[in-house]
Order: sequence, then C-alpha cells, then structure tokens
Amino acid sequence: MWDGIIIGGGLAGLIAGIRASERGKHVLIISEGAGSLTYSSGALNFGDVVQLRSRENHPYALIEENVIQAGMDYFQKLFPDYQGVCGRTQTLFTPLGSPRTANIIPSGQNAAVLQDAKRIVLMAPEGMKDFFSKIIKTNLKICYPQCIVDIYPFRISAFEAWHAIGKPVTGMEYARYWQSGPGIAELKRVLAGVTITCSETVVLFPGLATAFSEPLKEVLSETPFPVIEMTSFPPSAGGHNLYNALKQKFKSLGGELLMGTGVQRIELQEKECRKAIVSSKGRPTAFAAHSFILATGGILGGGIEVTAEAAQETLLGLPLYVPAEWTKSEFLGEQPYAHTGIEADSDLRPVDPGTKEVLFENLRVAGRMLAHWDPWTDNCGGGVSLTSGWYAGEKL
Amino acid sequence: MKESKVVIIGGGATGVGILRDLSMRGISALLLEQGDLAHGTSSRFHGLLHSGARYAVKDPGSAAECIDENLILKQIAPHCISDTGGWFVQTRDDSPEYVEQWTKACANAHIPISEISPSEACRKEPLMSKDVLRVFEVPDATVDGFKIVWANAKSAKRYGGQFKTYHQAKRLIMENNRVVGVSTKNLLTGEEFMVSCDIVVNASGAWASHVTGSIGIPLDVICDKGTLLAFNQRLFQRVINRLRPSGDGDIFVPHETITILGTTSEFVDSPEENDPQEEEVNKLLEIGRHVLPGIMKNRVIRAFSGIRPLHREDHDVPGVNKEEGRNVSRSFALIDHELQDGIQGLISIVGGKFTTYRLMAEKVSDRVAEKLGSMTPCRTATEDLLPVIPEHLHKKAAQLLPYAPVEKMLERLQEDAESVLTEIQRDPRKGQMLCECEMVSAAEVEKAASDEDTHHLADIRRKTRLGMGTCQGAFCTYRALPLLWDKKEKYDALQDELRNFLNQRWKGIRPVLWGQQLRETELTRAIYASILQVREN
Amino acid sequence: MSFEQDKAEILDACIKCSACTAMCPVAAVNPLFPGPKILGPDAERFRLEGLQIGTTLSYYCSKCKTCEITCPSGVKITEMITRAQEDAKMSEGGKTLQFSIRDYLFGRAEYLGKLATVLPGLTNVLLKAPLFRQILEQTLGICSEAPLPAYHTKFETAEKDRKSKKQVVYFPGCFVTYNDPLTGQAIVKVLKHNGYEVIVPPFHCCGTPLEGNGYLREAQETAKKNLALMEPYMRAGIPLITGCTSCGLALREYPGLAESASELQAYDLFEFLWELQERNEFRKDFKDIQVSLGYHSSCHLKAQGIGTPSVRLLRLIPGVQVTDLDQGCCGLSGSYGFKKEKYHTAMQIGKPLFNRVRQGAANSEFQSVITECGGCQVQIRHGSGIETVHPVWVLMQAYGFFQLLSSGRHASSELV
Repeated sequence: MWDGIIIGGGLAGLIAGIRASERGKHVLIISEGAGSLTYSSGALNFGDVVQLRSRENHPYALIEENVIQAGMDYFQKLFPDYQGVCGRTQTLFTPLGSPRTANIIPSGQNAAVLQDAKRIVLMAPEGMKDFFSKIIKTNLKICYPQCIVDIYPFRISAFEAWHAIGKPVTGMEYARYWQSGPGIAELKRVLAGVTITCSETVVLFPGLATAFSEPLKEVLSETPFPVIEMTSFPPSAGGHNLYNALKQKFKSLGGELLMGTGVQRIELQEKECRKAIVSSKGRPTAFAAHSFILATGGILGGGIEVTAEAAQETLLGLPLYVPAEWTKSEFLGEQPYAHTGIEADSDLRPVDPGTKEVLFENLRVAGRMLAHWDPWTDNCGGGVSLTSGWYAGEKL
Repeated sequence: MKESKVVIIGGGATGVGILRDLSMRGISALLLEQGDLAHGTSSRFHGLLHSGARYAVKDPGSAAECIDENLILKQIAPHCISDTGGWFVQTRDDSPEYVEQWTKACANAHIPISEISPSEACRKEPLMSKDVLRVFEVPDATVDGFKIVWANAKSAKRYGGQFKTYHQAKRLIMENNRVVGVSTKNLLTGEEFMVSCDIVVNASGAWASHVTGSIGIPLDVICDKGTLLAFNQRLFQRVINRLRPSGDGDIFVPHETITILGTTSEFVDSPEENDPQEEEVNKLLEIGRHVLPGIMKNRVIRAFSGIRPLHREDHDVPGVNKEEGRNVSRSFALIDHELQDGIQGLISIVGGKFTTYRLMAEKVSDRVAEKLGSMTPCRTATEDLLPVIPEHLHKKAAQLLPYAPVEKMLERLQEDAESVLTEIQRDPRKGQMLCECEMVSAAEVEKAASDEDTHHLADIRRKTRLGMGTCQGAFCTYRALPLLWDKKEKYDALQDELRNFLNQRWKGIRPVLWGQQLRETELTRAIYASILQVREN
Repeated sequence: MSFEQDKAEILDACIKCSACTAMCPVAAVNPLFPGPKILGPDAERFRLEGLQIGTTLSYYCSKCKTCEITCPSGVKITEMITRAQEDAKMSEGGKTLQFSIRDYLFGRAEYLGKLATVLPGLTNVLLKAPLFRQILEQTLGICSEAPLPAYHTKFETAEKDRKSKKQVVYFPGCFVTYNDPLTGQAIVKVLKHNGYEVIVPPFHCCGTPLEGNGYLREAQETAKKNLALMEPYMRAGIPLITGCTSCGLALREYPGLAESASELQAYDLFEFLWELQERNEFRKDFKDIQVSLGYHSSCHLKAQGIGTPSVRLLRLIPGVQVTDLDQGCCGLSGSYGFKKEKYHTAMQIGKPLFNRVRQGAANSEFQSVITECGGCQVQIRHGSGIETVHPVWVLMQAYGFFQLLSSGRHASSELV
C-alpha cells in the first residue's frame, strides 16, 4: 500500500512527488511517457499572478497567494541553479534570438547583462539542428542596436562523423556532449578561442545548458566575458535537464517512477480512489494507495480526450468544464478550447461544476488538468503546474 | 506590353492545359494567374481520376469522356497518377435495383468492371466495413492536382509558353466589340499594366463571371462548394465509392500518405467562401461511417474546401433542385462570346471536371487555332507530359538519400532532380529531411524556395508537400525560415510569413479540432506562442 | 477492435514531438541511424503506400524499447520497426549474407547454448582464445572484443522434495540455463524458502533473441511451443515466474498469441515476491547484513511496465541501501553489442552508465551493482569492471544462503 500514487510524471506530478516524498510519504509516480518538459525551454513562466488571481476560476484563484510564493521558493531551494523573483521577470532568448521574459529561469539563460554590452559574439556550432545564426544575428541587431554582432563558427572533433554525412547535431546532443568529461575540456578550448575586441563583450551560446552541472558552471565562471545560454527549439536540453533533475530528485528521496505505462482505470470505493490499475505489458497490475494525484497533462498529455462529439477525462470520467465556443480565428491568440479542464476546490479536489460538491475525498488535481486557463496566452504554464503540483504534494 | 497572340486567364488544370496545347501548336500564349498555380479548385478536390463509373447512370456522355481521358492520362502522365484501381461497394443501405442499372450503364459506356467477393474485399481492405454486399472493381485512379498542373506548366514552358503567377486580370480591354487585351495587376508589386493579344481565353473557373463581368457580359457560373477531409494515413489502398446515386461524402481516395474523403456540395455566393465548416465535417463523418466504421477514431488532419464552377445553363434544366449542385451535368461548356454575345476575341470555358481537363483544353485550343487560322493538330493526347527520369538519377537518389522515398521526390522534381541531387552531393547536409512527415529534403525545399515563381511559404508547400503531413507545419514551418530569409527580397517578413502560414493551416484544422490533431495543435501553439514567442498582431 | 484499426490508431497517436529520437541511445552515438521517429512512425506512413523505407539502416536499432517507454503518446515504435524488418525479409533482405547467418544464430540462443554446453570447458577455452575470436569476427561478424558470456553445465533443478500446496512454474531462460545456472538455483531456493514448490518444464527459448534479430514469425512459433508446455499448469492457475527481464517481457506478451493463453499469469520474480509482501506472505527472516548497491533497471524491465519491484523489495531488508543509477541503456541489448558493426555503438551507449558505476564504486556509494538482466550484467562488468549480479543474490545473502553458493558464485559470472 502506497501513501500516494501520482498519475502523470510531468512538471506538476514530479514536483508533487518530490514534495510528498520529502515529507516522508511513500510515493509512486506512474507516467505514460516523458512529460512535456522536454519540449519546453526550461524557463518557467508564472504570468501576472495578481491579475490572473482576479479571474474568478483561474487555477491561481483556487489557492492562496502565499501558496504560489511558497511553491516558487520551494522550487528555487530545490534547484539553486534557477533564479527569479515572484512578480518580476527575467530576460532570456528565444531560439531565434529575440529577447523574451520568464519568471524563473536557469541562471545561465539570464540575458540582463546584454543591456550594457557593446559586442555580442554568437557561437555557431557546426551543423547544429534548428539553429539559424543569420536570422539570430538580424534579430539581435534589431534589439541591441548599440552592439556589434559577430558570428563565431566552430566545429569539434566529437561530431566529425555527423558532419561527414551531413547529419545535423541537435541542441540536445551538443548540450549532452558539453556535460561529458571530454566535452568540458573542449568547451574550455572553444571559449578560449573567442577574442575580446572590446571589454563589453557578451557571448551567446546555443545548445548549452549548464544548470545542474557543477563542472560546466565552473568553466563559464572562468571566462573573461559573460556567456549566455540560448533556449532551443524542442526537444531542448534546457527543459530536458530540468526534467531529469526532477526525476533524480524524486528517486533519490525514495520515490518510484513507473515509466512508459499508462493507468487503465482507477478502482473506486464510494467517494474514494483505491487502486490504480496499470496497463503493464500483457497483464494489468494493481497499485493501491491512500491518496491520489491526477496530473495527466490535459489535452496534450492525454489526460483529457476529445472526440468529434465530446471531451472527457480519461481515467475517472470526471466532469469537465468545456467552453461553448471551441476556437477563435487567430491561431496564436487566445483559444477557448485550452480552458477545458477539471474544476477544483481550494484543496485542489475535483468538484461537480454545478453543485461544487467534492467528488473524491482523496484525489487532487494538478497542472494542465485544471480548468480555466490557457498557458500560452496567460503566460503561466510553468507557474500553474509548479504551484498546483507543490500544493498537491504538500497536502498528500 | 504585347508578347503573345493568346492570353489565358486562370492557372488551374484547364488553364495550364490550354497553355500547353497552344504552345505545342506553336501559338504563343501567356497565362495569368492571380495566386499560385493550382491554388484553387485544381488542388481542392479529392484527387480522383474518374473511370466514369460514377457518372455512368446519370450522365453517360460524361462517363464516356471520363474513361477515354482516364486512359489517356494514365499513358501520358504516369508520374502524376497512381493507378490504384477503385471499388464501388454496395452497403446494406444501397438499393440493389441501382446496382443493376449501374452495371448496365457501365457496360454501355465501355467502362470495364469486374465483381469481387465481399470476403476477398474485406481481406484486401481490412478497415472497410464488413457489411458490404457487393463489390465491383473499376479503373479509377488517383491524380495529383499540384503535380499535373505544374507538369503542364513546365511542359508548356519548354514549348515557349509563358505564365505569370500572382498576376490578376483586373479587366478586359475592348476595342470595337473586340477584346484586345487584359489590364493586369502584379499583386506582389502593385504594378498595373496592359497585356495585349488577339484572343483571351477565360479559364478562371469559379472566377469566370468576374472576368466577363468586367466588360458587362453576364456569365452564369454557380459556385458549388465542396468540402473534404484529409486523414492522417493511407486507410485504403484503392479508391472506394459507394454504389448508389452520387451523394455527399461517399468517396474515399488514398492519396500519397493520406486518405481524402469527399465531397459535400453546397451553392455559395462567391469563390472566396471556401472555409470548411463544422456542419460539413459532421456530414462527411456521418456518411463516411458506412464504409469506414472506425471513422470517428481515425485521425483527421484537416478539412478543406474547393469551389466547383458549374455553368448555369446546365443548371437551368427544369426539375433540378438548386440546393444540389451534384445534379447539374458535369460536362463542360465552351462559350465563344462572338457567337453568344457578339464580342470577338473572347472564349470562356466553364464547368467540367479535373479528369477531363485535357479534353477541355483540346476543345478550347481547337477553337482558338481555328480563329487564328492555325492548322496544327492537337498532340496532347499522345505526347508524354514529362520526359522520363533517367535511370542513373534513380540510383543516385537512392544512394544519397538512404531512408527517403526518393521516387516520390524524383517525380515531384522532374527536370530539377539532377540539380537537386548534385546539390545534395555537394553539401550532404541538404539531404536531411526538412519536412519529416512527408520526407522532403532540405535541398528540395531550397530549390522550391528559390524558384522565381515562388513567393510565399504556401507556394513551397504546394510544390513539395511541406507542411501537408501529420504535424501540419508544427516543425517544418520553423525549419523553412532560413530559406525564406536567404531570399528575403521576395518574401514577406519572417514573422508575417510564419503567422500567415500557420493561420492558413489553422483554417483547415479548426473544424476538425479533436483527438490527436488537437494534441498536435497544443504542441504547435506551445512551440510558436511560447518557445518562439510569436504573437498575433 | 481489429488489429488493423488498432494499428491505424497507434500510428495516428504520434504527434511528431521527437522525444523518442532525442532519448534513443543508438541515435545518440551513431549518426548513420536516423532514429526511431523516422524509421518508426514517419516511415510507417510511407510503408502503407507500399514503400520500403530505411530498412537497411533499421538494423542498427537495438530493440531496447527506450523509444516506446519515452513516447508520451503510446506509439509502439520498436514494434513498427520490427514488423517492417519482417516484411522486408519477406520481399528481399537488407543484410549481407555474413550478418544474416550470424543473426540467424544469435536469434537461436537456445541451440547455441545446447551446443556450447556439451563441453562447456572446451567452449570457454575457445571463447577465450584470441585466435578463435578473430575467426569468429572474420567469419560471422561477432566482435572479438565483445564480452561473450562463459558457458556452464546446463541449469537443472535437483530440488525434488515434498510437494508444497503452493506451486509456481519457473522459466529459467537461456542465460540462466546455459551461462548462469547458479542464479537459477538461487531463484528456486528463494521461492522454496517462501513456501513454493518450483516446477521447471523443459522450456525452449522465450523468443526475444529471435525477435531482436528480426525473426518475428519464428519467435511466435517458439512461444507457442512453450505455451504447450505451460498448458497444464496454466489450467491449474499456477503462475509462471522468471528472473530474466527479456524473457519476462516476452512471456507477458504470450497471452496475445493465442486464445488459449489468455489465462497465463507471467510474473517477474520480484513482482511476484512483492505480491507476497502485499499479502503478508513474504518471509522476512533476514540476517544482519550491511550492503550498498547500485541498481540498474534494464530496458526490458522498463518495457514491462511494472516499475522496479526489486528495489522496493530489497529496501525492506534492514541494512540494504539501494541507489537507482538511472542512466539508461547498457548498450548490449541481447546480442546487439556482440556484433562487430555494433560493438562500439553498444559500448558508447553504455558509457554514461559505466561512468556512473565506476564513480559510485570509487567513492564508496555502493560496492556492487545489481540488475535482473543477464545481458546487462555481462555488459556492465565488461564496461566498468565492477561486479554485477542478479538482485536475487541480495535476498540469498539476507536469508543467509549466500555461503552455500558463494564458492561457485563468481565463476558463474566470469567474463571470457
């Protein structure tokens, strides 16, 4: 019998698992596959918390403001390589070299220092996939007109076999290489080749993610110029490293992660969840627990299945909020469908949308499964998942 | 500006067919197209090369034309056609009397049919409904609208024909009841100029009445909107028709990697009304279910609509229901405005169907040739549309691209294949797949992007299939950006190209936003709205 | 739902996120391998058009199933690749004759084992002889540096004592049968200690080596033979237990092969023991021991979707510390790492794991490594030089049986 079973191993599920394990709970996370962190930039956005809390149903409005703050603090205590303050944003770069903002970012991505730069050196690793130096240079020149922008192409012997057949090296492959022993030595050599023609030189480095790697951070602390990591087109090292760090943290606290297998259904007893029935190869396995967290990632994660006729929560058939108007004409603007999700009480327990009655006493909902938000227009994808996950883990 | 004896308005299959035919007869011709070639109806249909069986009962004339043209096109354009064969299946809901009527009609039209047992049929098409009663094989095939239009254009070009895309015919210029030219606007530069000629051929399909309207001649063209669904994969290996009087949404056409289900029929007021609607989608799903019982679970990647131009005269047959465009004859109408309206130098061609585009072009060209006193006969029924791809290129492609469907690439590229392969040999990085869903190499996309008649990402899409597969542009749109940037003088700003392309894709995804395509959409929004921070204006 | 409709829906589930290729251990070290996304779901859409795409390159796939475990959409990527290889074989092979013969042999681990264990001493001498290994490499394409496991006198159970009311059937698998019989005996011992009579019918190979070498059809034939042997026990509701994770994966899929097999209860050893623990039937008469272990989860255990029951269970033993190494695939993947064109790929795949093992052993985080998979044990020992055994040995030690077998223990796992 487990203390808690968390269904879904994305940001919300892992944070919940870490928090609960840290509180001494025996926790199992069941995850269909790698969560969506690997597609993310690795930076976490919280959005305008005050404004979002004023929206009646927004997930932030379910929990106290200090819970949001506490979740954020907790994350940073867990991962000191991340920096940020509630209510303030940090500047970082998109893969196309445009500045953007986010609330908590890996320290290496912080681009604040560029305000005072006179020269930007854009590192251009040979044959890097989804990296377009000329476009980035153009964007940098627009955003930092005071700077000279130089492209610094380089190639390293480790990927010669790739270059020989014209195969691109992904940002993740580069990042993984830099983290290895030979990669660290090579990185020092490459950076040593960058000449400083003016004292306010800043180096911009794609395909590099130093968070969680002490040796890498040390290399960068010794360079005569600041080095800024760029975020990548997915799958990206920034998000993936965070995912790995969360997984390792959870496992090191004694948690068990069951990957690659979905939960078929939940066995119920009146208003309580009892067992998660997992679709193991060939024959299902039952795992019993006192308490459950549903963090199955909404539409993208597969926790909500939408057919031509209806939307439904896949495990328990929990009632969903479904907007009457499904889409709007501008693709990247607000999309009502994104608000589809489970309505919950202040304890994150699912409620009946009509009567507000709590449906299951020992089940909490976290992350993208919650209703009434659009991560891409509310700019709070990381924030909601992190805080609701933390809170669910705290309450488990 | 006077370059040619003939100006053709409209760059669909009929227009380019006429351009090729005239060029082969040595008659100089210039084609004007307001968008990209094949951007209209010629690429917005189910891609079925009719055997004629579908029209055998109702319109034997059409059926006979179809089977003739079917056989001709399979001969002259094999690389644009996939000879899948087709079935007519009778379900429990379809009348047995009609089956008898139909088999007789096929015999009369000389359409070869052969019956196969339902059990054999179910074995060959395991996703098909097990409830079919009778199954007949017919020589249906599938045809690639983009490819055949471009093949005609390129062939015409070799014979001296010219075409200008993104050139809109604003109005016809008249002198003494004679059309002497076309006032033309270059939509990319805004420049306006006059093209003079001896004869104007109005082959602008659903836009045909706009063209004649500019000189006050009414031409009743009915816009019959047809909506279709594209499924993510090849669900059937052959065309599957319902064996019943033609109706909405009862043909499945396997097309390259996807399957198309169509087509609805509804009259609309203008050719611009081509946004697929949810009701049409639901109708298609409801009807398609009888042949594909798992239809609700098969992933639909998009819906799209085309406008069939029907000629009013056909429609004015008494007793025909206005709401059902399908009952209007598909046979085309060639209108010599000299005979009909007393205006010389203007011919309109309306109606018809894709399968008979060549025949329509032949008839128009015959009339034009007659007017110009040319005696050279039509050769389009016998001369191959494109030269054969030499064997060494097949070998080279297979060697350079070890995991790509190279034959498809060669068929798309045709005479450009050699230069694209040489480029990959020179720089193997360009042999990587830029579009992984449809497996289009970076070199091929680069070639399309640098073509002089390519002006938008959507033009690249039509030439290469980029963005037409499972991800609907989620990954390849981004990957095409550097190619646009390299030729930035002819493209819009990157952000605009990107937004426009995504919004075009969105138009077709919106009405089918459920299941896996909805997940794909969430991923696409995450990439563009969050990671790349692209915003709507 | 029909097989074809199911197949269509699984292909539809791919949203092209590329997580599979990003996590693929082979693609990470071998640029010639286009990766699971392209060879799996991407190529599948073209295969439905009748086009064979990238079949030759697909033989670099090690069938470790990391892609399937990673995929957030439940796409059966390895299965697609294997099926495509099978189809290609029907039309025309994608391999050279040399590799075909070798893969044919590696697919038949059972016959190799039978042959080798006629005179295991001689086999081992030969497998150690550099000249013989050179010949193997030249003729069959078996890498001369690869850690081919030593052969032993065939595993047999001598235990024929009183009938317990509780019975289990044990599936030893080729590795235990021919290379590591002592582990088989340890498993039998632990099950007996928990009150079970252990039945060992003369099973054949589970089929995984055949599948891994592209012989899907033969794999199913072999499976059916095993099912026939299992039939009477299956009807009596006796569970089938294996300590090998590759066998376990295959056995769990047996019920899909035949209607009559639907009742088969196949268990991983520790999954079974954990069930006993949940029912309070697991014996915890542990001796006082102090051990720290690094745990490697084999890819085929991950693919079973049962979690890591051995870690769960061993953590119940006072004084036992288990660290999950969490470093992905060891690289060997059955016989993949023995092949000359793949040996170096396999070693590179395993590098992060070997480094982690060496580092953990160097700073006394743990003394040795445990993993259920025999192949992983061989490869981790080869790559890191650190002792690696089946987790059942920790139970053996905790129960105080270890001394009984310790003299012969290390010989069993010795590398050639």
